[in-house]
Amino acid sequence: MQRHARSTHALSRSLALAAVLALLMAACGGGGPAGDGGKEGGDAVADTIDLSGVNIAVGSKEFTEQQIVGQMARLALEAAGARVDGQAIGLTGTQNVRGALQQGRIDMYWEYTGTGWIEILQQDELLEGSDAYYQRVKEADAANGVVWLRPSEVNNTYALFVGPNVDLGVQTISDLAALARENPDRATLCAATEFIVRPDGLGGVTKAYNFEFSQVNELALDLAINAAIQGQRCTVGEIFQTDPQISKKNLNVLEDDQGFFPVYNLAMTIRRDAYEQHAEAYDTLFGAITDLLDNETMIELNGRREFEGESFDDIARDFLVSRGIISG
Amino acid sequence: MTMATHSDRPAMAFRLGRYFLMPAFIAAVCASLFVYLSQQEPDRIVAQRLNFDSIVDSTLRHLYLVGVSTVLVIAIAVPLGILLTRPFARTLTPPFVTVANTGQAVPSFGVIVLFALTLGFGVRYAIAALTIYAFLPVLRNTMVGLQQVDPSVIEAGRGMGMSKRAVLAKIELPLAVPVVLAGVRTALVLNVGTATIVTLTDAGGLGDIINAGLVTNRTLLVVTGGVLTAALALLVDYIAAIAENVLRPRGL
Repeated sequence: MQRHARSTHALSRSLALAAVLALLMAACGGGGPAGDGGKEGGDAVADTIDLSGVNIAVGSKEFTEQQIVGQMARLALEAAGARVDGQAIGLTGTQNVRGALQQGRIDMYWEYTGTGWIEILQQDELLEGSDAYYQRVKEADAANGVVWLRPSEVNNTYALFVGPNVDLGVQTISDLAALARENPDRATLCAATEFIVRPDGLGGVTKAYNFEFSQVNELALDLAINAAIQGQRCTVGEIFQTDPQISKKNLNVLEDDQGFFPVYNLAMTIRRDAYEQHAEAYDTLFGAITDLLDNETMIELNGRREFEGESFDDIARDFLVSRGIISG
Repeated sequence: MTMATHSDRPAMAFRLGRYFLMPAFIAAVCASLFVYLSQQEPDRIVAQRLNFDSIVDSTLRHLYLVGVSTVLVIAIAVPLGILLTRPFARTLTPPFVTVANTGQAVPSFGVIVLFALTLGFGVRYAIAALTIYAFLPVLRNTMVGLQQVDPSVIEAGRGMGMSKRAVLAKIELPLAVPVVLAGVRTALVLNVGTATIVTLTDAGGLGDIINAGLVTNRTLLVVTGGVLTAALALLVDYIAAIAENVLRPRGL
């Protein structure tokens, strides 16, 4: 009897030990540099760059697009041999991510030129064109010790749209303005607080196009888009240009024919200290990724997350491999 | 019958003076806030939400949201609480209390957004959500208040020939009032805070100011909205405390 009890005890102990070991291995197996540095098929951009031994912390904001490009940065850097800490990918709010950058808790993250100008540098002067935003932001932020790399063509700016259930017969914001002046009841807006209070939002666009909405409903962004798609509470909604709902739900995005809305080009921002140590490597690596990104591509990638539910990691990896940035 | 004597007067003055302490404090806080604001150079974003009209609008809307939802809560939860403490309702109590518990356990943010998405946006459904959220304190306090009435007092009343209804109206309720009012006071203050969230569902309120500050990184807006909300909560609590004192039956 006693021998039986002892051997059962020993058995359960070994099982417990095995379970603990399995858990530990699962936990530890997650991070770490990708691959064993194998340089076979070295066509991928990341393979031509050597960042081995470099410790980098990458961050991003919480919304879909940011997390996808954040993972892209992490994967590309890892493929180049760096040891990347991606814990700060997915922080909530520009302030948190930018704060982490300025305090040195992260080394880099993707930011938008317009956001840099308006929110980070707290300027309320509106500029004209991609170049203007990039140059002015780059110049002014240098004083904060932050380097802005060459921006992509992704322009995640504001857009006004008419939902599929509403027929206003307008294609551009000028059309909308004319309609609003003639028939005010047909021009009602559902928008988020941010759009409503910012000078590059509601106030600015109504002034630039010379019209008013007869009613403005203020809601959280997702709810506002939802309400505008339903079309009962309002006829016009506010959305960002790279929102995948635009293509999926067939939204009629009104053309900003007078070019009022500021430019929000996606660009990599890096702390100067970190940048200067491997400037060329970063320029090459992120330049290659940047060249591949535009609104259409972003909408598609965002859609893979929001409609197919794929993980940010998978989406980023697939993209980078298929475009030859990292090898598979 | 005691008469106020000469030596009572300083004590009375002290008591009266205490009544002015809280409003004076609130007024001082608001005054310093406005002095501070008038010295700032607001940019266009801040000016949108920090101007006299806008602040007054938001505050009045906030009071409306809190006021209507509290009246609704009292109108529904107090009678329900009375009903549920009657002998015949013993078995009905658990489900109602569970619903009330759930109403408050679910995060206010969730209740408000859920109502908006299923019922609709705007003030009406925001008030419905606030009512559900504040239901529990009033219901529970009504029930507890009635349950803690000494049964021998009720027996005495019945013994004196009072009907059940008369016992309820003249003995149970007056004795339960302090506890019920404490619940109402809690619900009121809760609602002042929770009502800041309904800015997200097109219902306005002081949350308009706070949220604008959060999304545009203008701390001034966040602080102003926050201070005004807190001041409002203190004011509401103070008025409720006075009501409690006024409505408390003599002899308790």
